[in-house]
Amino acid sequence: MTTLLAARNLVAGYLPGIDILQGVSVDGVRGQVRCILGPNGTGKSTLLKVLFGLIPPRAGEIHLAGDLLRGASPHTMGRRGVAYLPQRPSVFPFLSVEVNLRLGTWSYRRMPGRVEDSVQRAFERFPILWEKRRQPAGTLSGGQQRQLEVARSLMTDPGLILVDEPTASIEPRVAAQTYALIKELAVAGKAVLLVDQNIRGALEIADYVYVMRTGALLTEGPRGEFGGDTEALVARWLYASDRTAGQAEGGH
Amino acid sequence: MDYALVQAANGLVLGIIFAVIAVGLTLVFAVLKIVNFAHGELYMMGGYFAYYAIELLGLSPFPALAAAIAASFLLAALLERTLLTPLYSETTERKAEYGILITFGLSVALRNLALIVFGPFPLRPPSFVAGVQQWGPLILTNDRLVAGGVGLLVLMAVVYIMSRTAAGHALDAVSQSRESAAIVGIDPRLAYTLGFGLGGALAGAAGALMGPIFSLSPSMGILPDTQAFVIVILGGMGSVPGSIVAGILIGLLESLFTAFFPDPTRALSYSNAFGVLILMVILILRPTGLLGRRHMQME
Repeated sequence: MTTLLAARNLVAGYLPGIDILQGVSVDGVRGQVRCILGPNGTGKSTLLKVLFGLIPPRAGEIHLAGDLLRGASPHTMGRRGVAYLPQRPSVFPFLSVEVNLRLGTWSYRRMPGRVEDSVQRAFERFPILWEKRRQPAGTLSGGQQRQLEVARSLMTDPGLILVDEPTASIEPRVAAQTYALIKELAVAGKAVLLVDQNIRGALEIADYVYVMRTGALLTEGPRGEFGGDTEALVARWLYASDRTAGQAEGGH
Repeated sequence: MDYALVQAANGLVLGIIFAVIAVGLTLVFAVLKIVNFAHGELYMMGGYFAYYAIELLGLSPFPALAAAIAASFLLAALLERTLLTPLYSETTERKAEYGILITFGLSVALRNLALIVFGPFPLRPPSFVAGVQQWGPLILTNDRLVAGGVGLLVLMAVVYIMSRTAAGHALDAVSQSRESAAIVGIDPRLAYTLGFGLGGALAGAAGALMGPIFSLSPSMGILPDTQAFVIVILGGMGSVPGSIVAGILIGLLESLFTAFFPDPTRALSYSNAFGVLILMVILILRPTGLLGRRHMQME
């Protein structure tokens, strides 16, 4: 197992003086799905945005394949083999499905042979996209748009994939397929960092778990260290969350 | 009826040129999310670039046109790199207001600079091809035919770039979502420069094509700029095909309005008002314009 990404003590936020992340450290390891869990508003999505270069960290270090990256932009991260699947839809709704896929090859657009190969492979892997290749992406269902995003993110054959809420707002059957695909990617040697509200679904494919609370890591460890008892973990986490909420209400 | 035919032909040529200007404006709006109030001045600069390429460099009119398009692209790209950078900074507050103020200021500055450098008197570049063509009652100068023909080629080139090339798809992608474009690896800064440069090149091409027909003056961009705003809104903000359709429509309808208005001495004065009237009617029926994208993402 190779550590592809090593992020140490990341501090970041959107507004001056307010840190959403308060010293978070995570690793992306080849062959593993590493799952980041935690209540809403705890900074999980912010963490992925920082790792992908959409938000510059105020402090901390990000090492990718051993290289220290300082203020790397998203397109630089993309060229370095990092893919990001955001929570909200990221397809280009007015462009066709095929053009959306081709845009995924932007970093090697001057290599037509490789572009065509990648597009063909994507269509073979996701036949529904081939059927709908001429349609504007905005006319696809939520699940199909998610498949398009996954297919597009794989066009560069990334080593590390950052996935934010992959099954939000999609039907259970497609969600199960999505989890299976994410696991398949890890088995194929890719490093996956997964942020998810669907704790049970995420834990089923996770090799390692980070639990976040209020911008910091509460606990972390291999999936097995949580006792294999998903229900217990969920209960512990929810109880902690409720207690915090109760304390907050009591304070008013 | 003969007069109406001549007006229709002239209107078609004007409409094509309006469309070239408006497509540049709508591209800038789509990609950078700003309204470029200096677009008319880039049109003016294109005319002067062509004029001086002929006068100082000794180029013949067609190579001078190509040089003017290239120079307009470079000027626009330089202006974007130097003046519009704060638009992309997270620390800039009120970006929309900054975009309005900086391009409005640029418009005034370029116009006055042109007054100092080029002088207040109209200059007329030589014709692309001297002479006129006559088909029965229809008479058109060769310069108008060249302007219409080259304008059409330019529009076809833009449609090709936007629909068939990776660069065009990237510009369209940035116009739909900057964040998603960054996610697939497109450098938004490059797209902004390319978008603004392309917009400037289109304005410059139109100015260079119209130079031999209407002469050059520092204030020559004001009226086409106003027309371009009407056309861009009519076609649908950010829509290239919409601007092409709306430009040709406005050119044709305004010219025919002039032909059929009962009082010929006043017809020309009212033609712009007629264009705005068309805009108002269309917007009542289709608030997003003729081919506007209904859910244009504004980031």
